[in-house]
Amino acid sequence: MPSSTQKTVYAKAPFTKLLVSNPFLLSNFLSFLPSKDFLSLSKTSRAWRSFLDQPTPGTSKPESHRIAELRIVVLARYVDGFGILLREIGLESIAFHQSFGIDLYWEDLVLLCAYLILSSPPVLPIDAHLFLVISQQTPLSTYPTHALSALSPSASGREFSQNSRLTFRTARLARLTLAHSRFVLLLQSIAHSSTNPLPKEDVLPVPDTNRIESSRGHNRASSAGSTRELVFPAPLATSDPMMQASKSMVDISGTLSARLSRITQSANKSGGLKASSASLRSSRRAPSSFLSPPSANISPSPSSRADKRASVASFLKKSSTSPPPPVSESRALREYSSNFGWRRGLNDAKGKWEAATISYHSRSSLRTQSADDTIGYGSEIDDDELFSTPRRRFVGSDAGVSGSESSFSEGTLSSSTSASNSTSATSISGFDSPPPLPQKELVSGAEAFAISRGRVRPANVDVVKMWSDGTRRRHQSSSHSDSGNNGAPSPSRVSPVRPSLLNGSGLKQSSIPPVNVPPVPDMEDCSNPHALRLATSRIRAPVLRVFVPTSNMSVSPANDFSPSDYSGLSRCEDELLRAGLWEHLSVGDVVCNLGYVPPSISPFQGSSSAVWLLFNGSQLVPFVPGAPDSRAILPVYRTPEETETGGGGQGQEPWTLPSWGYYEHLLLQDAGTRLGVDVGKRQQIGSNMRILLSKIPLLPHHFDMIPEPTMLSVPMRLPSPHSPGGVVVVKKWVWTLRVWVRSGLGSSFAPSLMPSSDELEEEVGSGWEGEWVLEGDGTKEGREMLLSCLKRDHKRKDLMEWQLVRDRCSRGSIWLR
Amino acid sequence: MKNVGESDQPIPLPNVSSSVLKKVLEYCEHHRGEPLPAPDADTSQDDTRKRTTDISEWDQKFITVDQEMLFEIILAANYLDIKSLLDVGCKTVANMIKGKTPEEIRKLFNIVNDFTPEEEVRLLALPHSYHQLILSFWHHQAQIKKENEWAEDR
Repeated sequence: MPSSTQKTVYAKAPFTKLLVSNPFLLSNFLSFLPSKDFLSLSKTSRAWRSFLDQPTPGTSKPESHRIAELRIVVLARYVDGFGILLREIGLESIAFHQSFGIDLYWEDLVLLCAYLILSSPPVLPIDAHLFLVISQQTPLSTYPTHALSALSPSASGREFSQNSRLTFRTARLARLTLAHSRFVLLLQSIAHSSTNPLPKEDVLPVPDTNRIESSRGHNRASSAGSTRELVFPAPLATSDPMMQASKSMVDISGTLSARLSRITQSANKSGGLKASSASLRSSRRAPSSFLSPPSANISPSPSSRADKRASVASFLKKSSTSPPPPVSESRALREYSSNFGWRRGLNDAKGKWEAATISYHSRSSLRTQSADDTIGYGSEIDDDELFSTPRRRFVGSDAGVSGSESSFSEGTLSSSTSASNSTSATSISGFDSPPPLPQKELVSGAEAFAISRGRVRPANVDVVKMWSDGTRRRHQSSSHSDSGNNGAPSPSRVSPVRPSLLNGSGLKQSSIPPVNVPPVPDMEDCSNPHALRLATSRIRAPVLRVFVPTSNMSVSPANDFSPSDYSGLSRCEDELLRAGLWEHLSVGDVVCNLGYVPPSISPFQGSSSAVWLLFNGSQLVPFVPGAPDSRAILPVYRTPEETETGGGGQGQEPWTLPSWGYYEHLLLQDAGTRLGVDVGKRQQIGSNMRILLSKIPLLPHHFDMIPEPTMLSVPMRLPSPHSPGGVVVVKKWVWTLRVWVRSGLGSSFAPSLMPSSDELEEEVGSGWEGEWVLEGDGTKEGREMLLSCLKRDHKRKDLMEWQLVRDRCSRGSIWLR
Repeated sequence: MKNVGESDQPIPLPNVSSSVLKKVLEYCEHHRGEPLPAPDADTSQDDTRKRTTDISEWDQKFITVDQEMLFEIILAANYLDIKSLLDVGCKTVANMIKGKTPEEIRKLFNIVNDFTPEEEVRLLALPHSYHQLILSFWHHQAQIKKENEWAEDR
């Protein structure tokens, strides 16, 4: 029954009343109405635009529910992926509060669905300015092209009208990107409210070229072609440890024999070994791949010593009877014990995160103001609001709110590389107290990187940043961090479940048509990290957009706050702050500045121009996958200081992210952007992700059950300018150590073995559970290093750098080098 | 209706007037024997799909009624769960809207424009005063200048 308010509004409009009062009818009607015409319709009266408005305090409960239902209908119709996501989660399992936790505005929907004609003079707000093209279809090249013209030195010499037009275009693009980001966060919040287990990592579409190349390489087929293969003999020094390893290999051998018998059976059934081998090659990403040809396993039997020096061909002979993937479900496949998965921290820590400095009201006012001003650059916001401490929601600690914002910068990190060779793990040691920042030229690699992240806004220190003509000041003090307790309740990314909200309402399940074929959003558009639909994935990092025309995305030292320090990076943060999105970021979220123009573009620059910004819990940090320097290190880690204080800081271990492939879409994109070299080969060479760990997430009682390292011959692809294909396969003997990592919340442990609450504070991401293969150098030192990694004192103040070997990782198996 | 079976008991339809029911019955008579549309047959795509708004000739003639009747038919089709008729009604309304400006839509459906002037301006998120225009311009100029200085320093 429509309320009295409706009656007054719709008294003379039965059309509006009919549709707006019935979500099912509206859904059916909108399915025939293109977005362009919906936007026209939504401009006819307030009723057609009120779906995304927050209910006012006086709104009755049924009316609020109706609005929420209408909102779902509209978003499911016009926001790519929204409907599929709802069906995946189940409409019954998710209910919507008055909001999704993220403020949505009608203008955002407009901007998502519409694209403003850049060439039209922005003088009059007439409808002709709306060139209604779905945002996703807008070529991304529009952004850097416009950024290039905005940054052009000749821009200052233009006439007023030209410059004003440029300014407005910039503002519109900025607003468009922020609208996109808003919906990305919205989709993420819904996706992570799913109670279903995380999607399996092995659905990741690896390019065929990669797969084929790899399988060829393993079978030496490529040796005859363009890929050279270098085989190193097993080191003599491994004889004694190998004998020791024989004991620890019993289980693995047992598994191997079982798999061998299985494959024999399957070969018989399928009509021959040939087919079986082929299927094995195609499934090389299966967990058992570690035991099959790519890694020639040394048998503990006496004959293995002969094998040790045998040629690769002799190993490959065995490959014809390679074991199939395990039948039994690996631990990583088991259902994630938590209901909300990785972003459950949003809910759990909700009360703790209620230290929001920017309340919804304030953000609403911000938005109103920014709408009145020129969006993107023209508005002046209160500095206190702008630079309040962003909240990190996955630690579940109050310290995360009030703690050091520049925790990554506090402490000098010195790198000590193992004496063996470059593949050794690099440890970064720190000090108890933060010493003065070193000179940049005295540090290298990860040191400079880690130091550089603290260039902004150290905690407990008032920072005044001035730029331009000095009219702008940015204050941040510890008071901001603490003041949040009085703030408005923190909107979580996931709305609480209240199924009753939808019961008995006009919204039928069929309002959001079911999908016959279960969609796999992680497979779709995986090659395009900018696709909005990718935001529906729970095992891929969401990619937000900002548009800040700049050529400077570098970070500056923490103690340098000159006006020129106001780089594009800081402005990107400001954009997110101003749009009210900053507090909705989670550790590991990716931000892409579409306005970034490299200082100089040359074909030899390669991927160095691709800069992603990762939110590390306190700020955005450049992340350049595949870069030769420290920018390739995933800026998600926990510093020694945080480890010492029990995890109360801003950092987070990479294995707390949902999956090891969380940035796979960025790595694929990175490979695609490289110039002049075969993408497939490039991808195999250097796009392994580098991560910093403070510890291997073993449960305490597992330390007594650590197996001895075993030696394997592992093929690696290395760049070789003299090789015909630019790549050479090197088979190298390495020490490997297999450990099992699983969530500490497992129920299979006796109560006495259950870890303490402190140890459970950080939960291993579902995609990281399973067998970890740690690879070290094939030397005595490498072996010792592997063992020492596991038996590390928890109070050690250094970080281990590992390389996540992508082509050896699969569902339930993670290979770290 | 299936659940009711054959019965002499009258079925109350309080929400459907006789004139509308006649139209509905006319539609059903014409389409008698046609296979029922598969439930959500074309829903394997995303909801953002573009569904065809083509209407058959007979249906077009049938649905050429005044707005009041049109909306009554839509309501009755919804109430009686006649999906194909509901689709025809919704398609007709959608076709009436297509290509029209907001003002034309208002006139067509007698919608009252209840937006404030400020809301109208906010529609396009454009600066609505000359003062703001100037501010934006100079702000942008400062950005460009800073970027250039930075580029020169490098």
